[in-house]
Amino acid sequence: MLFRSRRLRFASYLNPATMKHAKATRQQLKQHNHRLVLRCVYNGDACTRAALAQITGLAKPTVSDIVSSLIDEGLLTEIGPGESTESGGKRPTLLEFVPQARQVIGMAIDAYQIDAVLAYLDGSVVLRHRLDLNGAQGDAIVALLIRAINALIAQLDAPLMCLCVGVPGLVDSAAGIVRDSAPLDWRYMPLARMLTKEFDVPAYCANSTELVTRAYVAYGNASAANSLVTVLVNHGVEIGMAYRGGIYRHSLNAGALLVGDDSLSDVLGTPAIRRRLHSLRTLFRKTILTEDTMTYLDIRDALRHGDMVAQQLFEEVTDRLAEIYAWIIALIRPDHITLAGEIVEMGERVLDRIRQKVMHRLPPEAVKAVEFSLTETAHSRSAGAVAYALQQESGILA
Amino acid sequence: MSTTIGVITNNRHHVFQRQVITGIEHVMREHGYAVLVDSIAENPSAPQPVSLPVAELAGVMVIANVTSDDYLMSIAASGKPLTLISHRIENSPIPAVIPDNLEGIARMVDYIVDRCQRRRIVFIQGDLSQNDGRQRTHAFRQRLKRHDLALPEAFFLRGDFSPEVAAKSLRQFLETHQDNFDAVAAADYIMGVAALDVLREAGLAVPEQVCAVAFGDGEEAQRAGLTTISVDVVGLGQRAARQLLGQINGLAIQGETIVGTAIIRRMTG
Repeated sequence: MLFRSRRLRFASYLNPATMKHAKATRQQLKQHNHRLVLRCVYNGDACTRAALAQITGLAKPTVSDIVSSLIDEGLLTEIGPGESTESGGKRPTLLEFVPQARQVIGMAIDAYQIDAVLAYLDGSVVLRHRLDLNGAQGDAIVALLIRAINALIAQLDAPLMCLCVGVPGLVDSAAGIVRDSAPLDWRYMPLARMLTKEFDVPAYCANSTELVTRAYVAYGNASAANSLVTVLVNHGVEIGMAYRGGIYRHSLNAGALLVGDDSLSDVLGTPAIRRRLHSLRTLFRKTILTEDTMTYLDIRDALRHGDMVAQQLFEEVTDRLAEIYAWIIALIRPDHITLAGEIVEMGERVLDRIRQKVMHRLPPEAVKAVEFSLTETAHSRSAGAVAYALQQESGILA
Repeated sequence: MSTTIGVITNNRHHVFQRQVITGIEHVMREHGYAVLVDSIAENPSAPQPVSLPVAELAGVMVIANVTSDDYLMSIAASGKPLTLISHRIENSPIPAVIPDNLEGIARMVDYIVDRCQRRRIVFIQGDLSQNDGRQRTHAFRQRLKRHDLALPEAFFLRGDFSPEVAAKSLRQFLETHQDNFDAVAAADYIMGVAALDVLREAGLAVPEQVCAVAFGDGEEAQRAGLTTISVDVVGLGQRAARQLLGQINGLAIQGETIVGTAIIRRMTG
């Protein structure tokens, strides 16, 4: 809303017949400069007009205009005089970022539910909203998505700046199109445009796993890693990547890839482990695990009780994960691989066994150079959606 | 068009309900709506039927599972804006506002295990016929698994969200397990305060011998020095009022809005 309204004001005094190209360039430049100044104050790089001019390279009058505009819009505030410079003179006025000036909605959809958060501009979450899909597919999910967004719009404490939806499958973030999401039965869904039209705010969409990676970079401790890979295992398997904290990519449905005789989705993910339990129960009569409700957490608990079926499931799951990890390390040699999704409920022992198995396939030195971690946050996809929307719309949390 | 909304609750004088209604009234007043409260079970042994003129109201809010799901579905089917508070009906489109029981209980268990270094935790459960009671017990059991902990079933006490029931259950537990536990966690703070009294009357030092933490927060917990996982219950009422207002103003809303928790560390753990 912030930058859109500014674009409209700017457009009103240009002649569209003659200035089309120049208008776009000026708009982009102006938007870029606003983001630059806002990001500098947000990151704590500069907190006075003079320091902003110095650090951004913009002219002082330009910085003053931008700061005035951002103050008018409530995104910056003056908090009083700072220290004088060594040469003396007037004490500069300190500026502060106001995270409560706008709010952002971040959402994630999977085959089972919509998970949404309402957050301030610093990413702090105000509320969550959850909506079960109950088997809905295709357009019916769009209708439910709108109802979930409405629920958070009813709770706004500040104007809504933008929103972002995380989707499993192939997503063209730049075009705002979900190209293929089998779990949702969406193909060539112009989701961003539809939501922008519905809610009159900028809307974005991105791949869920890419968003988990983004959340890890924005809020986690992986900002120092040059290359980060996220392996997300929930009801299927997806892989996301971040290079130098700025370039993000996501895999196609990795669950469809064959490892041995089985696809990854045949072995990993909650539906797969429940199916596998069904067949294992015929081999091992005694187990405390029950098919209908079993989760990765139940496997962890059963392991503690020495349950043979749990041990078998654990080994099968970690063997497959080790193969994924080995391919990732062999092809990319990332600095860091983080495992996300419900599978992290099995705890650190998963990583221990993956590391051990990968070392049988690859030179141990190469494996030791890669940091392994678990992404524990249950809402990392929607948190990543907030980070993505903020980065796109305001340049912060980039 | 009506400028009155209705609230259906079991007993408007109970601490939780009173605070929720305060939050609702605050928001509704700001928006020019009057609030009618129908307190239908102040005498639990003789609950009354709902007496609100539902058809004439702008919208209805219902606190916990005070009426049947069929009745709620019939209100929703009539197109009347409806919001449930601390209650949900599986597979129904009726929206709700609920506290984050899963995150809050997880935070409570993490605090007791990681911070207080206790692993033998007695859990005083809420009313298992209510959504909050069921969710909190489920979340407690799940979080124990994350810490690779298992507790005997005898450590799960009946509390029913009632201080009297909680105190009685804990007294009975102490008769046989006096030296066998090192923490008490309660599914709400009113039961937590009652548990503190029982522990002290039994001569147990809190928090040296037994630490105590409860879900929710209020003046009673503050006076008792009880460490809590706080839920802003007035805020819960305010959020619910906003959800209903959104529906009255034409927003189609579905799902559960979940209000977060925070830990408030006091003397008992």
